[in-house]
Amino acid sequence: MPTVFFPSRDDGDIIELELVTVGGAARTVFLMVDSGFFGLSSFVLSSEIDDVVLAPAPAGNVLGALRGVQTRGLVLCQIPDLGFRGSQIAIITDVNSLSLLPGTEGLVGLRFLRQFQEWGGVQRGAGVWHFFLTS
Amino acid sequence: MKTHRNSDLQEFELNQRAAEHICQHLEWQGQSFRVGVCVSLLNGEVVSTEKDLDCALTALRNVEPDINRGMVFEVTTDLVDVIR
Repeated sequence: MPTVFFPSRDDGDIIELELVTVGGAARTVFLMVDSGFFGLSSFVLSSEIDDVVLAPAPAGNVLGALRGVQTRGLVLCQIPDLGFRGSQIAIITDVNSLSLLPGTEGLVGLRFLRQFQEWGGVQRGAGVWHFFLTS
Repeated sequence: MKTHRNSDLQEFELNQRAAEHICQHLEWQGQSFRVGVCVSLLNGEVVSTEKDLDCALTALRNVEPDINRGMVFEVTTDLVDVIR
């Protein structure tokens, strides 16, 4: 089964994936893993990423670290090394309140992670942690 | 989705109302829906019901290429997200 590994940081895990832009190009984004994020949406994306929404999705309430009615959109995500490609619903918002890890542009949640056979953390060498996805 | 014309906003509201009704009642304009099916809407009317979001998006864009119009979603009993 194909597996991809992403080096963990001391303060969290990050996934690198591609979002297909309106023009058909691939835009690489880094998203922080948050398995406590669940519901209708797979991602929270910064509203500064404004060229990847391929269709509106229903707005709806968000509870917890983000609050209130939030805009959602449909995005097309791909992870080439896994042969993974699929449309996902994303919350599109100002992410400044989320205390994201530096260099990340949003969150990836449980709905996305559970599209894979396995996901989680693993040591590849003493103390060298990676987050992995297996399709 | 950066800027919206008034007509796009009105169209969004029609779709939003339809999506909320579908998820709450599993029915819209005489058509029944199951949790888990993916729906595309345009002008508050159902374009297609599909097995996944990819197919629902394709069906929508076949009839409406403007990315600001229409709506795609998976039918759930609750449109809420939680971020703990």
